[in-house]
Amino acid sequence: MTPLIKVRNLSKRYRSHGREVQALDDVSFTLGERETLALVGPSGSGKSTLSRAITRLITVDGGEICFAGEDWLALKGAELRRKRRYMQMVFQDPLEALNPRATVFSAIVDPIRIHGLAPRARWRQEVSQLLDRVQLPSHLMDRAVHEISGGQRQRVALARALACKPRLIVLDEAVSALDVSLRSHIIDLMIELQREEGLSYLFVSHDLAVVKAMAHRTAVMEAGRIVELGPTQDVIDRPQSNMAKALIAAVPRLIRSRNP
Amino acid sequence: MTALLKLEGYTLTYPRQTEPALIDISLELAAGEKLAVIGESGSGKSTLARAVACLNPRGTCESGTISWPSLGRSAQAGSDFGMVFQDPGSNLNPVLRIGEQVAEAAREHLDLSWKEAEAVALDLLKKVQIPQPEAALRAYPHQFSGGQRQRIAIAAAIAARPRLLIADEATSALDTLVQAEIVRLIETLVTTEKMTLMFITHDIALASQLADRIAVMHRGRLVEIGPAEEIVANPRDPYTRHLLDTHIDLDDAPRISGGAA
Repeated sequence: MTPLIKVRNLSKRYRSHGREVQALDDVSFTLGERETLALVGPSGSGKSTLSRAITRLITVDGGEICFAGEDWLALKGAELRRKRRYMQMVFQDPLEALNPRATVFSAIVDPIRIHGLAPRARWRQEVSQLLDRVQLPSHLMDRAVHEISGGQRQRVALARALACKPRLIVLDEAVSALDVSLRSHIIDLMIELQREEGLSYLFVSHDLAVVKAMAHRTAVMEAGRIVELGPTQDVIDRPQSNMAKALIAAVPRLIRSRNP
Repeated sequence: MTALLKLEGYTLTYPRQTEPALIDISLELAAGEKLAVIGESGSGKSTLARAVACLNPRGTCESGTISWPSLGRSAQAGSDFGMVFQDPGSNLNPVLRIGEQVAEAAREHLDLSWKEAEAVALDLLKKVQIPQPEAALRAYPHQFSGGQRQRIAIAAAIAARPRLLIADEATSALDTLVQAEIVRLIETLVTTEKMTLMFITHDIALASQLADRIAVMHRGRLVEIGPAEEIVANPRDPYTRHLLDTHIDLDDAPRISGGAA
């Protein structure tokens, strides 16, 4: 089966405090349809740089990205803008990602309007359906983004991403800031959306417990390189790299008894 | 034994609010104890920490008492308690050298000269394992990573040898590896410096690893308090049970089936 996205030898260097930093160092991986690949690693390991390079929010120094059969890095101008909707991103803090003073309706309808995905007469109906997809009541669409709760906001961010009918959603620490009970629900929702809409996810996270819950495969990053990549269960049960071992050891575990 | 800190029927309402943020809180903290206060956003856990640290905004309406029985007087910031906040950036003054910020508390409360206080600061930076501590004294906060800034904030918080260290989500903004390091540092310091710890967190697993006792907050109320292992193994309050049920543990089964289609 051809993968949805194929990344080959990606590299990115930048200067920080007068020093050269190799933010991405020869990074290669593939991501299949309906697959979730987790990117894990400590701060500064390159996982955010990688997700920003893939979504073309930053340029790279070298390497190739093939997305849906196309040379993704070669796309420019109007064609890039047109195709960008197939690759969406959901960030950690929806209050920063969405205009806080916009209504829920306008936050979700923006991509529909910009990409001309539905005639104006159908907008409210489309938004209502999208809210339903993320399990929010449709009367919420007239509220301002800053008025609704953090969990509702993250669902709105998901609905806005879904409005584009994407094939890939990059989830950049998308559940990290949520309360535990909300986090669990949003994870279930994302798994359900993946199944029903045939989505692929690139899931950037530093929380291995969440990664285990929803990612099929996991790539472990350290200093700009992927140091380990495999089925999530294998990476967690039999970590090979020192970084994977360290990340697993650092996950807080429920201590049920002091004297095991 | 006389408690270090005691809250009795403590209720707090923020200015211009009608609903109280803390409702009828009673708890005691013994000297040397490690207490974790857990809850979700809006539960009142940070409000509780700030109330103990006398950081209530002007116009806050309080009833009930917060007392320090073993001190026999009201507590003083710095020498009786030190506090570390979530955001390593806002813990420190961005335009003050590290040495000055850490030395300030020691100078103020331990009645030292600047020179003596600077020696104390150097000692503290070594204690919190800042690399090249001599150079760090002259550096500014922005020159350090988030984890290192949090170490420096801890050094400043304990500079005047407080009895109680209050950590308000002090590790939540850090990645898992750095969080584990900072938690280890706090544990070590609490033991070696014979401090009492009040550790505010949303993470019940982290609380269970670190604390002797866990207090569970929900909508401004203290719904349950007890030994950590009892709270985890036999929660009595339905909300505690809910927190445990929704906690995602590394030992849980995956929620997806096998590989991708």
